[in-house]
Amino acid sequence: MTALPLSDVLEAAAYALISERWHRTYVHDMRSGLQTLRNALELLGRAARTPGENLAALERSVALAKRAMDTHEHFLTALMQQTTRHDEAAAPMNLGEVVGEVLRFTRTGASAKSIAFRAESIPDALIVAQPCKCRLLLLGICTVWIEELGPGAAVDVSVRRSGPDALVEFKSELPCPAVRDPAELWRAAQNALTPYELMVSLTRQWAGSRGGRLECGPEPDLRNALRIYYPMAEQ
Amino acid sequence: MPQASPALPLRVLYIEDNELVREITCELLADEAREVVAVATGEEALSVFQQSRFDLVVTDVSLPTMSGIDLVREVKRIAPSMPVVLASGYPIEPADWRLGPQVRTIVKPFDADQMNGLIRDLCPPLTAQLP
Repeated sequence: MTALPLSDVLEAAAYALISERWHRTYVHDMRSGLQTLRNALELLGRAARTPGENLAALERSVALAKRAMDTHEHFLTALMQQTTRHDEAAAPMNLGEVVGEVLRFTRTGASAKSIAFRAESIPDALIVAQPCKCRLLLLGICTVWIEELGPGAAVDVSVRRSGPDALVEFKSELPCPAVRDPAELWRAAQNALTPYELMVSLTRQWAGSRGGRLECGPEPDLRNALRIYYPMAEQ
Repeated sequence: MPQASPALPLRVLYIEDNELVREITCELLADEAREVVAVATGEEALSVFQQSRFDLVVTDVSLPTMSGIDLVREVKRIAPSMPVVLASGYPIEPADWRLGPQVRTIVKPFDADQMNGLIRDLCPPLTAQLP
């Protein structure tokens, strides 16, 4: 039997943690998709019951029903990819858009803790990365910040250029979650990691695999921030 | 003997940020007896609400920037007796939110009959009486 590399195990743990923490949000999004399907069926029925010439209404209802089905299929496919570890190829992607999607996804959870995220991004933060893994790590960091920052905290998330890299910075006036030296975490993973350390160690490895780096840790100058440097894609 | 005029259309302000859900639910809510104005955010809704007459507000809870709950608080501050339906894919506990009277909740995915029932409860059909 082939042994599972530690990186795969930790990544699977990160997916499991995210799926558990955001279970309610995934169900919520699924219910929105089901709502469109139900409404589409109702419209089809209404068009079929309407006496007289109802072909236009029927065709419009069929088109809406098809769009609802396509959207729900897309949602289910994305759901599977976003909640389970899988092999995926690196592809060009816009880091600012991923951050925007992650903050949209987490907004209800953040608002329940009165935590405000303010996002700012350059339009062309293009990188080449594994899309689901990138989303997982950014979502993971957001998740732990939401869980561990005090109510009322404000977090600034900015995506900008830093030399040859795209830089994602999470910053708050309050101290960010405690973490040991990221360089030591991979060794520590053989013992125990906090959820935040799990995300930090994976993010460090992910950025480092392409020549990027991660800045966070117990040092005083990093107490309020986490920075991910990831090489920009060639335009 | 007074003569009944055609029923006045019910003016519904509907707020939902998901474009497809908004389009398809708007289609479902609108009929001969209802006019629906649909917008994507709480901020847009407040702006429209203050510029026009509405008989009912139907809003999603999870909205960008201003949540549906915050929107309803604002609507109730402007028009305390305005009927409101809150729809969400999350379980809703209105008692905790103290949003006032004339507020009903519905959990997605709901049937059109359920929504129509709530609307009938909140806004019984009006018929203007001509002299």
